[in-house]
Amino acid sequence: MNFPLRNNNRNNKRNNFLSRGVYITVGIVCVLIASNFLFPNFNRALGYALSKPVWFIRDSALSSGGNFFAYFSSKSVLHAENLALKDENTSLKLKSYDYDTILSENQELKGILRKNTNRLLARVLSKPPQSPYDTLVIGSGTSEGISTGDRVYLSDTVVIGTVTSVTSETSLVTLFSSADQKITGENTRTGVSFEIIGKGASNLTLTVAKETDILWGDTFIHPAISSEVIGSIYYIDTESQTSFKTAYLRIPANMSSAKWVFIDKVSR
Amino acid sequence: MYSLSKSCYNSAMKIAWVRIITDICIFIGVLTLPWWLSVMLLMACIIYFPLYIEALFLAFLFDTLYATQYEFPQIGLLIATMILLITMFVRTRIRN
Repeated sequence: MNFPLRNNNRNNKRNNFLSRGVYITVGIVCVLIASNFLFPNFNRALGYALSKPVWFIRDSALSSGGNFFAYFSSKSVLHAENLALKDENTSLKLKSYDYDTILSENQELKGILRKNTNRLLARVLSKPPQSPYDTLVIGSGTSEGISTGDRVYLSDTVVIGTVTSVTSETSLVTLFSSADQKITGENTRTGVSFEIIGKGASNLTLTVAKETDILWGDTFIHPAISSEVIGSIYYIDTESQTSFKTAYLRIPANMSSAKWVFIDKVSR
Repeated sequence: MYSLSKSCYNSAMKIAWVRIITDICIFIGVLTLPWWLSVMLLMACIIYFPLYIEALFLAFLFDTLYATQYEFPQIGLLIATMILLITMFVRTRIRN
């Protein structure tokens, strides 16, 4: 019985392709990592310069084409939506009376306690579904006086993270919910402070002894002169066999729909 | 002979153009699509194209844009490298 001889030429070709591919890959990876260590800011600035036009085109396309599908909604759906919006509007009006009163009082108190509030409005260029690390890219940088460590707010009282990297025109904001970020949060109901750890996707966790007084819906604030909301508890896991329980918090806003943020410049 | 080399040249150019257009699409995808969708597209390209080195640059861009400086900032690049090397190894072991 005859067996065909093994095709050594073909095997050599394959091995050559593999070894050449490995050399090229490893070489490129080394160059990229070295460049990141040698010129970190240059790489970041170049990346943002390349990305900014795409982000602007996407935003303008979404804002102009956002109402396209509204033309195809049926009459009954629109009617139901209209009624729901009217109800919501009534309840929001009632809430806004309280809100206006509390806000003016809050502003007065802030004015007394911290005279140089220095807030900037910045456009969000890229946000969590695009970023796997729970970071935001905003369209303001050192040219507008932003520096690392500045606090970032979603509204007047909701604090969401800090600026961790700045270029001249853009900044990278790390959210408190970014993996392994640690912050101190104070329970507004009991006044007790805890260490809260980021878990990604706008979630944070808090591990405490089972006897600790925390409940679903408890709100946590950043301990500062003014109240800055970090998040509220939406689930408490007490099933585990250990003597601890884990509370899960969520940032009180949908980060994927955030278009603007406020930067509180640290006064230097 | 001339027509053979010309047809080879044409098919090579066609492959190159497909690859360039795919690169541009993936670049726009990395910037606009949710990260898990971009990762799936990148993996599909790594499997489809032989030696898809562009994946390294796109993963590097991913890390440069979104990763914070406090942790090791090249996680995306390392994962892309591993997937690329594994795909190359498997590709050379499968008979066409």
